[in-house]
Amino acid sequence: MTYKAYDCSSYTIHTIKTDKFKTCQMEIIFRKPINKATLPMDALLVDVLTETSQKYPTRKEVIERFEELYRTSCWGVVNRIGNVLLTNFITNFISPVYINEDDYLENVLSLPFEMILNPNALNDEFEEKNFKICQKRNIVDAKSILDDSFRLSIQKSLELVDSPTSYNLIGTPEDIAKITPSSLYQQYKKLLKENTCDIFLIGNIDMDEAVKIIKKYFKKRVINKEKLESMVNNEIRKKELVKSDKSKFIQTNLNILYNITNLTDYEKDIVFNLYNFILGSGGMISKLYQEIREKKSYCYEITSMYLKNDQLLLIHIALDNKNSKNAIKLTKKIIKDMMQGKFTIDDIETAKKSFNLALNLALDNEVTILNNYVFHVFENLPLIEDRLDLINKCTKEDIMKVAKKIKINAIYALEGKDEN
Amino acid sequence: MKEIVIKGLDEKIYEHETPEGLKIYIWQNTKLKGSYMTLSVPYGSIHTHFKVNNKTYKVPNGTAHFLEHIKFNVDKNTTAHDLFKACGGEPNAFTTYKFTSYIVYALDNTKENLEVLLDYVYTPYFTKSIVAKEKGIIVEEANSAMDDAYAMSYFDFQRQIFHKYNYRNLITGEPNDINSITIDDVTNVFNSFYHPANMFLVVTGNVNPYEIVKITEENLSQKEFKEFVKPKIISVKEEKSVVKKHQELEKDITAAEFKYALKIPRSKFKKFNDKELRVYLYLFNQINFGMTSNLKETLREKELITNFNSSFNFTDDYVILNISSLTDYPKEVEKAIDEKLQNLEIPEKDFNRKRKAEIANLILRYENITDVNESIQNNLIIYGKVIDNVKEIYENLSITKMEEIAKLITMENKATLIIKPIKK
Repeated sequence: MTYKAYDCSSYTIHTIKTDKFKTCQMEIIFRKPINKATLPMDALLVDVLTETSQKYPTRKEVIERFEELYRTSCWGVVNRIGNVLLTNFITNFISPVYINEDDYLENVLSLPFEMILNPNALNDEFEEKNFKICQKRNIVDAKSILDDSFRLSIQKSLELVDSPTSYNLIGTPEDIAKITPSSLYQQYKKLLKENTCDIFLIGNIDMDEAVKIIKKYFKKRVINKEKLESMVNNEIRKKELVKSDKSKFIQTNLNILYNITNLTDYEKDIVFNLYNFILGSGGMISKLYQEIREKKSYCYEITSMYLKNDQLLLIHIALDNKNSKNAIKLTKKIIKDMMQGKFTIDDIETAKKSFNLALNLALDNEVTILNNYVFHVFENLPLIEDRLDLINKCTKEDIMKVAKKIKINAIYALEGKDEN
Repeated sequence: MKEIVIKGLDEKIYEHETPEGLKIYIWQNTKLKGSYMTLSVPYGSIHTHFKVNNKTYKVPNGTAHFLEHIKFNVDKNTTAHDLFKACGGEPNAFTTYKFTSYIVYALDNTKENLEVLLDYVYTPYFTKSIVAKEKGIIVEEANSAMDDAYAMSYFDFQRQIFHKYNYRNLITGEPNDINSITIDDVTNVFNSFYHPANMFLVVTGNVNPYEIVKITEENLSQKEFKEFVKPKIISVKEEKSVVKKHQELEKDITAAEFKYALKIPRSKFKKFNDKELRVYLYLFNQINFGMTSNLKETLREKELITNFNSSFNFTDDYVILNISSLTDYPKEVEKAIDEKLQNLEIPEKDFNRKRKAEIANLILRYENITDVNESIQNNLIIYGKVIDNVKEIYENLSITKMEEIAKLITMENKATLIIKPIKK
């Protein structure tokens, strides 16, 4: 596997050459500081741009083109990494090694640029029909959070911290309804002007040839190399905030939120992951799972989520409302036990083995390898091989140190009706 | 050991049967780092009524899934997770309508992980207290599924299509089913179905096939198994008609949903072999109801739908065309589907483009250890063997045959369901 970066002035192309996989993936990633006011437009924009284009003005024509290119797929997504918004255009295609057509690579690599640079628009307005279809879809999606107890409870919990952590990426139905074909086009112009851009490409491809093709189709760019700071400094409360809402659901969705303070890079990238595994993300062998699910039978779903760039830890339990108080009490006790070092060397070794397995399995998948390079480039995350070394060096003292760096922020319950 | 050559795809699968009757299938890929092992039994949520040696058993809905959960207990103080911890494997399990699978991802320690998998699955440890403890957990799992209104509308529709089939019921069972499961139920199921001669082991990834066979044979030879008596699943006779032709429900949801189904007896397609039929219907669906179909494009252009999905599903006796859409205009969508079904067409250009794309994509199916493993498991459950000529089937497809199949898709047994948000 060989990594190489090509500086193309206004953007950088990062290539990872490997013959391990039959498919290839290209991700064109635009980045900018997150802005709550424009989020619904950012989310709708990526949808509209990948729905149709000037050359393929109907969805049917777009999909037919994908099929002609042996079921290439091309889609867009927005993601928040702390304070930074990523607008990502992804293209997945069969390696040219398996396709006996001279212009195949050029055809697939040029496709996302056709969609980004030549949108289905006229006179600074997106074509109305496709715009309306995408807008309606996003409105339905935004409303659907009310049908999903997990999503709704997480959103409501994060709203308790007043920072980019709480921003709803897709926006409210009302926000989306206010967007017009022309206001969205103005936002589109900013995408090309105000974002930094990096392109990641992985697969069994002649990378010099691929770079030539990308440069041929991606010229109209403004140089923007703004340094982006992703970490969100969420305020620490003197006393935990407790809030609950009634809901239409059977189960109660209970979320307990903790601030994580002053982690070093090593703690942030390595140690806290091991701590979180032992605490709650390690599935059936985690402390939360063992104590709250296995010993007490309070729940089926229980996990802890490390929101690294938000410097938060979120514990989620879906359970019968009558067990909520006991589950909170037990969770607090387990957090305290972790601070006091009440976990064994065996727990740490299990966590290390599990990460060893997960990271090595990640090397069996081109998308996870690509994503690791994305975070290596953007966030200085050590590469998989280096992370494996660092994980193996981690000690009980290291984990106890981060266990003491968390402080409760809020408890939120989306209360169920417990019909059973 | 037998080698099954997957024709035209430059892939092979090793097949072997142990003296105890366990069938082993292995796909080796030395470029990868990990391996994925699944030990499966063709006993799933729909198999609630069966007969062994003239004795008939009837177990509550959800028993297969319940057994999957408590199977992880090895003794009073040990679970399979504790055993896998020592060898760095990542275990899990799942239950479907038709089978239950115990799985483990491993990196190294192939021998230890495989031995733990065989040891815990074949060693029963069921106690009343384990059964009682697990009920609370599984009731919460069922509650979580029941909180998903759209997932539940799937079962509302299954109950509208099927009179008796267990496809009507949640795989977990509902809380009252779960609470009625006894230690005798799970023990009877285990004793009847969990025998090597009734199961299969599929291993995919960076493994040595000969080593896998050796480890398995050595392990099983140290265990005692009674002589296997094949249980007979007592199947129900499902009527040709749907339960209700049309139904309207109101639910506390945000987007209205429309469901449409045709229930077609499989006997109508008897001149086609099963695999060929599935491939034809898959492509037929893509052409007439898929992303590039005129029907979908028209509904989209008229802004009648937010989404639109369709598939063919198979039961023992029926082929079901299932269409589902988020729409505020169910009547218009229904009319458009009806018209399409009365005027089916197979444009040659679409047929050839889709067939070409599918053939190219067949090579991609042999890349990911999980996907290859699942594909082998599905082959074994559906056809009882690994299908080695999929590429040939695609290459030999003909429009004439597809047109012949299209004529058999008729609308006598149609069901529609409209789910509207409750007006507040």
